[in-house]
Parts: sequence; structure tokens; C-alpha cells
Amino acid sequence: MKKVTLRGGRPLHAAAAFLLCGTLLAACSGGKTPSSGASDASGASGGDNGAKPVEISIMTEFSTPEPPAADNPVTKEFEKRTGTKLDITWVSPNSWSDKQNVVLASGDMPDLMKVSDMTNPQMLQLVRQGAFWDLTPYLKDYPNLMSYPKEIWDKTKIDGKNYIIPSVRPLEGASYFAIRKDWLDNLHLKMPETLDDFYNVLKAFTQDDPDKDGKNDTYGYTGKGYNEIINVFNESNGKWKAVDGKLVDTDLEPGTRDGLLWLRRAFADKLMPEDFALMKTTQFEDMAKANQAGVQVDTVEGVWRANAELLKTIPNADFLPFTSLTGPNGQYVPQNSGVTGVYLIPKKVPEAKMIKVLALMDYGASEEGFQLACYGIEGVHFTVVDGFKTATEQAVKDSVSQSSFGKIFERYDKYLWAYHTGMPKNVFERNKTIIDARSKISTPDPSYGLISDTNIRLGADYRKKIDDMKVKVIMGKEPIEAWDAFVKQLKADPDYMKIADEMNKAYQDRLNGK
Amino acid sequence: MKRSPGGRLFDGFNIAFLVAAAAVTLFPLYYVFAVSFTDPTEYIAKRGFVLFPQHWTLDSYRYLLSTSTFTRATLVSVFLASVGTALSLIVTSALAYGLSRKRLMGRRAIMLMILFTLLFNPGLIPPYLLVRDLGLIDSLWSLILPVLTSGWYVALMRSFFDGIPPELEESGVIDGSSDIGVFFRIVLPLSMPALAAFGLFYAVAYWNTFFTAVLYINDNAKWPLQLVLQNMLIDSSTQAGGSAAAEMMAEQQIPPETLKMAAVVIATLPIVCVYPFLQKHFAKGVMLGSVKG
Repeated sequence: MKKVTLRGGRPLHAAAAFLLCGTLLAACSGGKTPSSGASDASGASGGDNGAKPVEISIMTEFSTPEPPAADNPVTKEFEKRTGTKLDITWVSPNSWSDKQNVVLASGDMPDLMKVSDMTNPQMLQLVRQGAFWDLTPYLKDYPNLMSYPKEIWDKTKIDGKNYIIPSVRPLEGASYFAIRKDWLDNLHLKMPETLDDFYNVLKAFTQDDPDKDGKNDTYGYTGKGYNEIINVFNESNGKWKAVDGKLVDTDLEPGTRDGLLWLRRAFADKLMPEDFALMKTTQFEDMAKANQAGVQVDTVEGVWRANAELLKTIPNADFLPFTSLTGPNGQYVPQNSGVTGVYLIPKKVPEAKMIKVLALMDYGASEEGFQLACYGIEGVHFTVVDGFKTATEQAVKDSVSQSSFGKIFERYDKYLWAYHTGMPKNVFERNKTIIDARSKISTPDPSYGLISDTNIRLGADYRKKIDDMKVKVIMGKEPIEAWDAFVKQLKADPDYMKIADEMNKAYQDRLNGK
Repeated sequence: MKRSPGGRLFDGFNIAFLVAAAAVTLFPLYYVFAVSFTDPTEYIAKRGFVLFPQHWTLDSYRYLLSTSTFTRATLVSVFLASVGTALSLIVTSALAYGLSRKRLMGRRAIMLMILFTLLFNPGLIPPYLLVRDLGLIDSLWSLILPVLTSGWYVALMRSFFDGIPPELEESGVIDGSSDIGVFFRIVLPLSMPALAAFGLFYAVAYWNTFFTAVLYINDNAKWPLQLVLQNMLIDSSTQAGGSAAAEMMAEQQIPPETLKMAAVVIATLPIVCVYPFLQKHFAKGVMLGSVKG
């Protein structure tokens, strides 16, 4: 079959660019001799001693505007430092589940396969059929991978074994409230601590013209992530809460009811937009960017996106992430799962190659490898000013980012979510203190990775029904009694109660180390 | 002809209704168009409600056309739409013509086999395995060959060819033409309206190639426009209540809305341009077969 060339005169161009990159690379590694020495020491042998590079195919996702091209300089650098030849398939997160399921079902898996969700039924079935390597006996040889927090390794176990290399992310810095500090100052208000304080501040933000422009054009709260308010009441990170060694479904608890009442009042007082239930993530963010909302919900670093936009017109704009909020029973801030997807190595990969793949991942989890993944090559993709890395235009062009290479090669860095490109040093330092403070009190989600077959079958339907009812109650379309009746109905529903039983059984199994 | 007052009233309502319907249909298109010319800062300041941008700017288009991904993806889609449509028309019309001739042996059986594909869908995995075993993964042909023809269009076109009198063919044969000659010199020229209509159907389908590319194309240099577009238009669910979605969004680098809209305009434009010219053939082309006489 005739090969189709679509790019016309392009190849020459690409070749020229590639040559240029090669020169830059050479120049770069020439200036950084210690690093190439370190890479040899880190277990990835065969880099420079002329051995044939090991070909490794990887399937992963990316969330940069464009996926990295096949001849990306960062890929080349990884290959050089680890003695591998990488064939990376980048899949957009939008199409991820389709692609992943086809690849899993066809058995046509790459050497390193990403699965987005630890509870994916197809993956679990394959694991139990022995389609993937049990990495438990091998992992101890990889110090960088083993430096991931033990709790993350523990919660990604399946039947007590580590089939999974977690795609690790910080535990602290989860999506939570962030407030306009400059608005608080304008109105001479204190940083709110309890839910009542919080309510009053939101009210002032809505009614007292916090931006001093003489117009009534502000909302207290964007309305994004309203479940966080309910979580504060329940002091639970999501639906399941561990009480006395058992999992309790908070949707059936009085805390959820109290949270709904709080939100209902906030909605009636117009502290959040009327169409909050229909708004898209970008719209929430645009509200914050447009100086229209005093409180938004995002990760500690994600908050900076809106702040950077505001600074263009309001020089003292300042979104300050909360350390915690105090509910009726105490301080609450959520903890992240620490995992955003999992990597598996199919059993059909020979043992020698599997060890190579682990070595590659271990290199990616080293200080040096992770830096290469997230920031690229010094002088090409970033420059260091005042101990702070600044990305260059080339980094954007080459899609070098935490959201591309940083999705495969991951080091556990607890301050990863303190920094955002373009953030000044004092904000970064403040974020670090917030993260440290959160780490002392944050609440993990005890149900992460626990599997209930009934939940896989029916969970989504229940979720939708529950969310619908919540929104209706908040918007005042249904009285709170409708919620009570709904809860009663759920409690009488044998299928629904079966989910709780199965979750509890899975939880007990995990506690007993099974 | 003079219309009765009742008739005029009906006309009045009719026109008003159709104008309203047209406005409702055109508004989203206009909105996309307007936003694509808006400055991102203005878009954010107005919280997305831009009907008449204050400052028209071509920045979004300039940026898009300067990125290699977008231009490359456009070329891929142009290739699919042109080569794919041409091949599909040849295969569909040849198959349909053969099936419309009574002297073809086993024509009922073949037709039944074709209709079978309309009723039963193999699902996702078997086609994937087929494409893989044919070695077409990562080849643009994987986006063309499996969808080269559609059973439905073959059936429609066959009934169109049924309407061409056998006498025309006979005259061709008497003048010494082969079957292929008759097909290309007599039948196809007579079928221009049908070819135009089905050509447009195929072109639109190829231009919109998306899902098959998700499955079969790993190399992002070969992604068609719609896949690149989907990646740009990324937007997770309305309420990021679950933490997983929220985490994903936090790591997302979202292009500005104006850029997305410009991408939509560029992706829609070719079809919008071609459509009016082929539209007149539609009624004629598709319906001809069904009305005999």
C-alpha cells in the first residue's frame, strides 16, 4: 500500500528542527555531566555503554493542549538517560475510557498500560485472571518508587498484592475553598473559621460591594463543589466515612441534611448564582477571573489561574486557599487520594523487560527524572531564576508539563500542588505553609479503591438520583421534607443497602490485610 | 392567484414560525462565530455573554493557523474527505449498479448479506481486532476501508439505478461498449444528482471522522480535525463534585473559550460552504429512486 505523505514540504523542516534540538541537547548534557553519571547509578543500566536500547511501549493520557510529538526532545532525553526506546501513545482524557476498554478487551496491551480508575471492572477481572505482573516481590529494589507514601501503596493493593504502580499525586492540596483576601480586607472582615462566619462573609461579599466599584455585581460563592459544604457538616471526605471501624454512608446522615439546609439558605439569599447547577467548570472559573465571586473551589495551585487573570486589572487581588473550615464537630479539610490513575505491566511482557520497565518508572520517580518530566531540559524548557524554575515558550511548544510527561513519570512531591507556573515566590511559600498545616488535620477518603459489585452496577443511577434531589432541595424546588422522605426510601431499598454492606465487607478485608 | 383572508393569515403565521425556527437554529452558529472574534479578556469580563464583540480580533484564528497540530489535522481531514469520498462513491455505485441489473447471479443473496449489516452491529471489539490484524492500526486507511460503503446507501442507490431503463444500456452494448464502459460512460453521467447527494453524505461522514480515530490512530500526527477539536473543547461534567474529576480539571490547561470557538468555525466552514451548492441535488438525488414513472 502506498504510504501517504500529507505534510508536503514539511519533513525537511521537521528534520531541521530536530537537528537543532539535538544540538541543544548535546550542549545541555555537556554542561551537566554529573546528571548523566547519576542516571547510570539509578539502576537504569545500558544507557551509554552501547547496548541496544530496550523498546518499551506505553499508553497514557495527556491534558496539555497538544500531545507531545513522537520526536519530542524530552522523550529523546529519557531514552538516552535510561537506555530505552519509548513508544508512547498519548490519548486525550476525553476518549480515554473508550480507548482503554478496547485495548483491555482486545488483549492488545502495551508494555506499560494506564488505567484511569482503580475500580475498573475489566481491569480487575484481568488482574484476577493473572494478566498482569504481581510486582510485590520486585518493588523493594526500586528506592524511588518505594519512596511513595506507604498509605498510597497500601490502598492500591488488589487482594493484598501490588499489581499497580500508582500514578502518584500529593495527598495535600486537594480542591477546597479559596477566598478573596483583598475583599476581606476591603470590608474589614476576619478570615472565617466556622460555617456561620463563612456564611456571614459570603453574605457581605454579595451585598456590601466588596470590590468597591459601587455596583451590586458580586456573588459570595461560585457554587462549584457545593458538596464540600456538606462534607464539612459530615466531616467526611465524600460519601463514605469511617466510624468505629465501619463505613457509614453520609448521604443518609443528618449532616447531609444540615448541609443542604445551609446551602438552601445561601441560595435563597443569592450568595451563589442561580444557574450554579448547570454551570461548567470553566464558567465557575471565569466568574472568579471576572472579579465576580469571593469564594471559589480549586486545588491550592489551581486557584492561581484565576488570580493571575485578576492581577492584570486588580493589582492586590489575592485568592487565599483555606487551611480548614470548622463544622459542628471540628475542623475539616479533605485529603486527596494521592492517586490519579494506575499503571500495570501485562504478564506477556518477559520478566527481563518488566524489570526494565520498573527501572524506567523508578528513574521517572527520581528527583532528576521527575524534573525532566515536569520541566524539561534546563536552558531549553526552563530557566532558573532565584531558585525558581520558569518555563520558556519552547516548553509550551513541546508540551513539557506535569500534565503530559508528568503523568507517566511521577515522584511523590508533597508541594507539587503548591506551585503553578508564573506564581511569585511569596505565594508559593504561603501555599507550602497551607499544605503543611492541612497535612496535620486533613481527612482521607476511607473508601478509595474499595469495590462493591452492586455499586458498579447501580451506583451511577443512585448517584444521579441523589444529586438531583440535592440540587432541587438547595434551589428550593423541593422542601426539605422531600429529602427526608427520599432518605427513608433509600434506607428501605434493599439494593441500595446492599452497596453499604459490600463496601463494608471490602473495607474489613482491607483492614485485615487481605 | 388571489388568496383568501384565511389563507393569508396562515401564510403570515407560517412565515413568522419559520423565521423564528430559523433564528433559533442560526443563533448558536452566530454565537460561536461572534465569540471566535472576541478578545479573551472581554469574553471573561462579560462571562461568556457576547453577542456583539466590542473589539473584533483575529488573534484566535491567527494562533490556530500557526499551530502545526491544527493545520496537520485539517490536512488529514481533507485527505479523508476527498480520497475517502471518491473511493466510497466508486465502490457504492459499482456495487449498487451491479445489484440493480437483473442478470447478476445471486443478487438476492448478496443483497440479503448487505441488509444483514444494517440490522446487526458487531460492537466495538471485533472491528478493532480486524483492523489490528490487517495491520492498519495507525494507518489513515483504517479510517477509510472499514467504512468504505454503507449498506443503506447501497440499497438507496440500487433503487435509483433501477430507474435507468435497460434500453440505454443495450444501445451502449450495440455500439460496442463493455460493461465497465456502459457503467462509466452512460450510467454514471446519468446519475450525477445521486452521486452529488451521496457524495455529500460521505464527505460529511469522513469530515466528522472521530470515534474510529480514537480507537485506531495512536500517532497523534495522524489525528483528524475532529479529534484535535474534541481535545481542545475539553470540559468535564457540569458539577465537578467527585474529586477525581476535580483533580483532572486542576491539572488541565484549558485553552480560552475564544480559541475553541474559532476552532469550531474552522472545522464547520468547509461543510457549510459546500452544502448550498449540493443541496439542490438532494431532493432529486435521494428521492429519484423511490418515485418511479
